[in-house]
Amino acid sequence: MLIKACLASIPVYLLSFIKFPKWAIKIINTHMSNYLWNDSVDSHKYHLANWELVSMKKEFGGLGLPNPRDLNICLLASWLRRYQVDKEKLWKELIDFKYDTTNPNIFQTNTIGASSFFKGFMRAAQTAKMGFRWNIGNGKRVRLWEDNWLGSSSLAIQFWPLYRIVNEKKKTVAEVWDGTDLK
Amino acid sequence: MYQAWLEIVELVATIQLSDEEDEFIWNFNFSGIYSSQSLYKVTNFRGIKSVHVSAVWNIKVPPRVHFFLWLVINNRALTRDNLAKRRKVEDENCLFCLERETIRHIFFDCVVAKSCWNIVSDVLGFQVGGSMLDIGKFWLSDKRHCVTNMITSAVIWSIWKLRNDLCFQRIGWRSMEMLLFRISGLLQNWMVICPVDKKASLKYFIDKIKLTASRILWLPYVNQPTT
Repeated sequence: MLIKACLASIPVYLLSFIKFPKWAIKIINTHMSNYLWNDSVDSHKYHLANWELVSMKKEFGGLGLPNPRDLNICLLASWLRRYQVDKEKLWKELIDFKYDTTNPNIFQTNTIGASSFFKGFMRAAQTAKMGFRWNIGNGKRVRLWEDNWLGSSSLAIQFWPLYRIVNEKKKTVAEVWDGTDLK
Repeated sequence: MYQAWLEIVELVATIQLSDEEDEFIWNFNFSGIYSSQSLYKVTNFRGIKSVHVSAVWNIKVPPRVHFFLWLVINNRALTRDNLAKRRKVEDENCLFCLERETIRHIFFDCVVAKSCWNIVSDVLGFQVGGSMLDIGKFWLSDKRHCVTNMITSAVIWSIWKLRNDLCFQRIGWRSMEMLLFRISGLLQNWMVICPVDKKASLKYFIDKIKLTASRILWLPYVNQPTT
């Protein structure tokens, strides 16, 4: 389809850099749906299916047009992929240093005073966080209670009543576990 | 509570600390490295739909028919009852008979549609066209039922086109033969998109539909809807 190939791919480059505001996404959606249903300024046509249905993937029963809001998040979060793959690269060290991402890991980075790109990126990273699990190495990056390293959710969720009364919240695994004792 | 604490101590005891850095692993694909494609797929999922909805894109018909069939299965085609949701409609009745026009009615329950499906079932040699689901189940195995799918889509598309002509061009309804000739003419045009090895069988069915249509012409009272 023409929209998918042409209209929808125009903003993709920008979508991977900038967290689009709601109004921009709304305008993109309006333009795409107006084109789809052959709408124009002087003649209004019926939009036969809502955008929710149209923007579903074809295998889920929609028309497979991209949903810019979701696409935005997905593309922004793909900087995590670069972060994951480029282990010893200079840019990663720069980011780590500038934003103090080792305190204790990238998902907990403070965004106050960060660039607008980094703020957008962090928003996306927060969304993508639920899809990650941790492999514990030296235990300095993983928080025992809050991070997801065992099963499908964090210990805080799995043992909520207990988490409410523990003292050592937001501590990394390395801080509370030395191999023999749990603090 | 103490029980839970013991459980946690036990869980934590399984951790083997090593000298390597902690790593995060992506859950939604096999490589464990994030991909935007996989996240998009997860966020895009909005509940289960019946399998044949997405199978519509597999069948061999022109794109506009694909799109129309997609509208029909989602109950979004602009029949009079759907139109009535958007603006005032004076006459919500079917063009062929006097019942309320819905998707289900015009394509399957109406007398015209019913007798048309009966003829097509006769031609194909098995029963088709009870409902959209009945047609959709053949979309799933398009390799085997390619010709069937083309014919059923042609029937739906022709009923719709005929309905529109009756509605907007003020053409009077004459007989079943009119619809059948439309179907066979349409299929003749779709011959180009039919796979080479299926062409002969499609041709056979087209001729058979034409033959049935011409028989109706000679016996004008058979299969004619009561108006």
